Amino acid sequence: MKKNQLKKYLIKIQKENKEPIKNFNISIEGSVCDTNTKFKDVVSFYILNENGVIKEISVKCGPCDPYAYITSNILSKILKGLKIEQIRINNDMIYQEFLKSLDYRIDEDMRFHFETLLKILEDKLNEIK
Amino acid sequence: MKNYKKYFPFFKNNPKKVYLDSACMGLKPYTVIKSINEYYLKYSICAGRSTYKLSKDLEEKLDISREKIAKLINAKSKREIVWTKNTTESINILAKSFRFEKDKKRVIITEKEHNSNHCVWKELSKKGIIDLTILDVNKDNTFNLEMLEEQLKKGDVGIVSTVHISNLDGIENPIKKISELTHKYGAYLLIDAAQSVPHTKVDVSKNSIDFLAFSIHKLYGPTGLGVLYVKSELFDKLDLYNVGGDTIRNTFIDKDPEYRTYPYKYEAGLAYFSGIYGVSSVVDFINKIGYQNMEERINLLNNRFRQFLKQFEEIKIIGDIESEDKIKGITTFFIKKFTRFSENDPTIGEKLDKKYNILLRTGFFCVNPYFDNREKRGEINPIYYPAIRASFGFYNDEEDLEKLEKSIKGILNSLKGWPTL
Repeated sequence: MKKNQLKKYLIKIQKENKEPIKNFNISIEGSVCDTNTKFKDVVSFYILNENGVIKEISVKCGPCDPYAYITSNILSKILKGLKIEQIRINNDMIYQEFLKSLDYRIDEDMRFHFETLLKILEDKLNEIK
Repeated sequence: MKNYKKYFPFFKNNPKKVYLDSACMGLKPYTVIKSINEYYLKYSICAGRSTYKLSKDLEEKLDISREKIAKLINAKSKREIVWTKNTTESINILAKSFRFEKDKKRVIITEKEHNSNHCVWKELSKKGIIDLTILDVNKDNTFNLEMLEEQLKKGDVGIVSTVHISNLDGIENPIKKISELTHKYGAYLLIDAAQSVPHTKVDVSKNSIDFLAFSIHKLYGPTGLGVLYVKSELFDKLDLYNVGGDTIRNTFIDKDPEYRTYPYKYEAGLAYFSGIYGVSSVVDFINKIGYQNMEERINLLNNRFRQFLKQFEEIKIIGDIESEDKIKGITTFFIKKFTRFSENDPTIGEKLDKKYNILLRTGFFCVNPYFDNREKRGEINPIYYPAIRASFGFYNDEEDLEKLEKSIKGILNSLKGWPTL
C-alpha cells in the first residue's frame, strides 16, 4: 500500500472525535503484532452492546502504526449497528465494506491487520455470547 | 562555552555521537576511571577485615569516600550514608525496613514517580503492611501541595516519598515545602534524588530531609553503587534488611547475633570496594567543575531546546510549564504524528541514532503509571508513543544542541504532509 494512500485516509479522519465512549459494557484489547517488540499495535475497542447489537463503538489505538490505526478506525465504523453474531472473520460483507473504505486498494499488510483485528473481536465476542 | 568533553574518554572514542541520555547514565571522567583502576592495581584486597596495614589503609580510603558523599549532600555525619547498589535498592531498603506505626501506616507517592519509588510501595500495600495513596500532580505536572496537605491532615501518614527532579519532565519538586508539610503532620520524608544529586546541590540538612536515595552511576561514577541517606536519629526506626557478612559483631550457636551499629549493619556482604574507592574522585571531580557551572550549562541548553521545540505545532512537550527555573536538564516530548509506517521501519530512537548520531531515550522512562493515568484521562493520545527524552549533561555544548535541533527538523521535514493527530 502506498504511503500516499495511508496519508490520504489519515487526513480524511484527522478531525474525527476520538474520545472513547463512556457507557460501554464490553471492552476488548488485542495486539496485532505480538512478536514485534518495537511496536505492538495495541488496539482497544469499547462497545455498547444492547440486546446483542453493537449500539456504539469506539476505538483506542496505540502504540500502533498507521495500518493498525486505519484498520481499527474503519472496523469501528463498519461494526456499528451490526449484531454481535455477525462479527465473524468469514463475513464477506465486512470485508467488502473494508475494501470500499480504502477504494478497493489494500496490500497484504493491511489485509493482515484487518483479519487479525476482526479475529480478536470475533473470539472475544464469542466468549461473551 | 567551556570544553568539558575533554575530561571524558567517551567523546574521544565516539567523536560523532551526541550523548543526550544523562538521565539514564552519567558519563565517566578519566579521573574516576583511573581511580577505580587504582583499587585493582594497588589493592585488590579486602578492606578492614584483616589486620595488615594495606587492608587498614584501604579501609581509610573507603571511609574518605563515605565522608565526601556525606559532605556533598550536607549530611551531619558520614555514618548517615549507607552504601547500596543503586537508587532502587536504597528505596527498597528503606521501605522494607521502616517500622510503620499501626495508626500511621499510610504512604503517599505521586503518579510521576519512577518505578523505583512505585513498585515497592505497591508490593507492601498488597501485603497489608502499608496503605498507599498515589497523588495526581497538577495538570502542568508540578507538585500539588494542597492535595498533599489534604491527605496529611488525615493524620495517618507515615511516609511521604517523592522525587526531587523528575526523570520524566525535569520538573523540580519544592522539597523544602514538601518537607515542612510532611513534618507538620508528623510524617517522614523520603526523597528520590537520582536526577538531582548529579546536577544540583542537594542539602539534606537545610531541607530537613529524613531519607534520601540516589545512584552513583548517574553521578559520573561507577555502575552498581548507590546511596541511602538516613538521618542519624531515624536509624532506630529501621529494622534490619539483609543480614550476614559485615553486618555482625558476633554470632553464637545458641544466642541471637549481635549486629554492628549503623550504617554498617545495613551493608551486608562484601562491599563494592573498587566502586566505593572511586567515589572519592567522583566528588573531587564535581567540586572541581562546581555545581553552579554544571547547572548553568545544563539549564541553558535545556531551556534553549524547549524554546526550539515550541515553534512546532506537531510537538507536544510533557510538563510544559512557563517558569524555566523549575525545569532541570530534561525535556520529554511527543511528535503528534506517525513516525513509522510499517513494522520494518526503524523507531524514532533508531532513526535519530542511525541518521543523526543522536543518543537519547524513547519510551516510558520507567514512569509508566503517569502515562497510564494520563492516557485513561484522555490527556495523552497513545498514537504519539513513544515519547522522546533528551537529557543533558554539563559536558554537552552548543554544537550538540545544534545537531539535536537539526535532527528534529530533519525528522519533522520527513513527516511533512502527514496529518497531526
